[in-house]
Amino acid sequence: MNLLGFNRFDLRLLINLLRMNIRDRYLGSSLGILWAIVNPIFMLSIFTYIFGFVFKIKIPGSETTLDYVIWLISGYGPWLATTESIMVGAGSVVGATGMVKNMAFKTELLPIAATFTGLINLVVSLIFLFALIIFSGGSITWHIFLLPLVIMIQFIWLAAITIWLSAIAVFVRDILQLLPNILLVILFATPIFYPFENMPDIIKLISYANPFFHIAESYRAIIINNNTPNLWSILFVLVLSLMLFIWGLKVFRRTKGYFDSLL
Amino acid sequence: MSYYVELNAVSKIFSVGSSVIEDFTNAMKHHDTKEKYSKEKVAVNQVTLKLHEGECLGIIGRNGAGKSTLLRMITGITKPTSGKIHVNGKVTSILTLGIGLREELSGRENIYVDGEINGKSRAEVDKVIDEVIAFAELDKFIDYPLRTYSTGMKARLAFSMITYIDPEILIIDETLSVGDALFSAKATARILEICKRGKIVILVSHGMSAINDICNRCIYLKDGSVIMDGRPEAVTKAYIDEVKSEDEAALMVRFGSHVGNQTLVPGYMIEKPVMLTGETLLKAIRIESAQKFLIRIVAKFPYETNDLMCCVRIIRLDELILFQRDFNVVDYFSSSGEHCLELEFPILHLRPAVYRLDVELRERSVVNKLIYARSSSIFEVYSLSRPAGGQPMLYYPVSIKVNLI
Repeated sequence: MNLLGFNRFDLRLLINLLRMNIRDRYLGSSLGILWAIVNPIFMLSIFTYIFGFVFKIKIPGSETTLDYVIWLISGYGPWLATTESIMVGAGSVVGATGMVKNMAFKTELLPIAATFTGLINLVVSLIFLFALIIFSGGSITWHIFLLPLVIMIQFIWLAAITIWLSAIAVFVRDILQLLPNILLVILFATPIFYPFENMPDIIKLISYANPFFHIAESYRAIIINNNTPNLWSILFVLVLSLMLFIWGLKVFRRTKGYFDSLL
Repeated sequence: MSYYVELNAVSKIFSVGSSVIEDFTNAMKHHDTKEKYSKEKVAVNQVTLKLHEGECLGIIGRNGAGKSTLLRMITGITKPTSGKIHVNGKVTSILTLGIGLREELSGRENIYVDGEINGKSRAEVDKVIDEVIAFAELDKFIDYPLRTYSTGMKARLAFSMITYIDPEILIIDETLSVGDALFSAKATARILEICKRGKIVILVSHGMSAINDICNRCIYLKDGSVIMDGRPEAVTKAYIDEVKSEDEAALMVRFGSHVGNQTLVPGYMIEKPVMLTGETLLKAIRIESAQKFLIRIVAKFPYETNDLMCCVRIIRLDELILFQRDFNVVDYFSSSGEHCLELEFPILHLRPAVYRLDVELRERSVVNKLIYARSSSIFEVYSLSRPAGGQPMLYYPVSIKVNLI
């Protein structure tokens, strides 16, 4: 069994690395892994309070103020996962110097494993979101069974990005400093906080080529509109991600022989 | 499947001080189209090597000879700049101990972490964990966080964690003997055992005895090239001999820089001493050991300096003073001008080697010993009857008597 040059042993190592990533993140704090759950809940609670009870923003056609919060979190929850994955993933090779320099293993597993740390944020956000929907009297339909498909595509896309970034970060560390700013720009250039209709025309146009937008829209199609996500959106992101991922993997494998002398 | 490791004209060139952009673009390119770096250091140069199943290779060489780079390339951590490496079998490498140690976790948990890093499942680690803990001899500490450990304890734990590996192709990089003498011996024995389990073993070490014990083949790496390949006993011997002579040559340069006569205060002067040897006292610069030896020193000084000292020293290559004799010049001379001074050794006990003779004229006061003049010269001691095997420091005459009890 061999997929893209990975075998069964690599899969187990991938799972081990993911587990280590999550544990190391909260190592030494007494609440430990609980923080992985507490942190996003805290963040989302603040948003709920501000936009649900202080600023009482209403989106057109909705009855309650919580609708905006639900709409927001259905886009922002997955974005939290995106930020986490990209940040952890980009620094994954640089941060594992000891392993990279001294062990014989497929280093490309590091960014891939790091990408999946975002899953915790995503799951916590989704649970929070569904609790909010039930609380506000909204409906949940069978469409949520389509969520795993969207989640899968989102993470292939994220893995494709991190595999590139993690390799580039070895050569240009500055990218790790720059990344939070870039992510902030992408967040506001992507219709996550504001509805698509409110965006300037130029951003609207760019958004069609923006995978983050298609991912956010797919989540919203399922959760807010109780609908199937746009097939073309899904296909676009999937094809783009796979291409970028396979190309990234190739570049990563070509460059990784030089990590040793740069770390 | 037969295991093998094959290196075909493998070279590794590191760029020195090139820009990151240059590094990155070079890394992205294919092998054959690669540009040359502006400044470079050749770490490994055209190494061709083939290892078959059952071979245990020792790699020796001085620091910076390219040993570690070669290992890293075989492991796959670093790519060769040119040449091809084929490895058939799963490579397990131990280049550094305790890569994954987490200070906050207990010793026991760290063993699981190590298993995770090495791609083992929890169940697999469970099978060997008792053995690992027993080997580490950490007793109750095994459940304490690592930050409470001493350095030695950490090293012991780190070493113990490698003991359960099941290698096909095993690559080990030196300094694996850790902890106190007792543990170190145990560790060496365990390494031997692990090496026996490996189908192919490559070992880098500075310990020649380890290489001789474990390996059945040895290469000597110098400036990135293999300059010798053969039985470990022969190669290690050649290596030791060469290192010794290189070291001595380097010492000689430093040693020789002192040679010459120097006058520091006008009026004082020491001429180059003359050395005489043998019963007939012939002039020579090569002196035979265990023979009569005489040093003749010609010195010039004004008589009025009554606290003048003469100091004669014989110094070994490593700056160790072997002989020193100080005496008051006034005790021996009663007028100023040129004097000849002779030091006679009835039998020269020094072993064959190169020595330096330093003569100084200086102030006798204890506080600031002003030096008036000095002279240094090099001489060599040889022996026609070397004892078999060893090289004793001194050729000291002893009388031997055998009594029947």
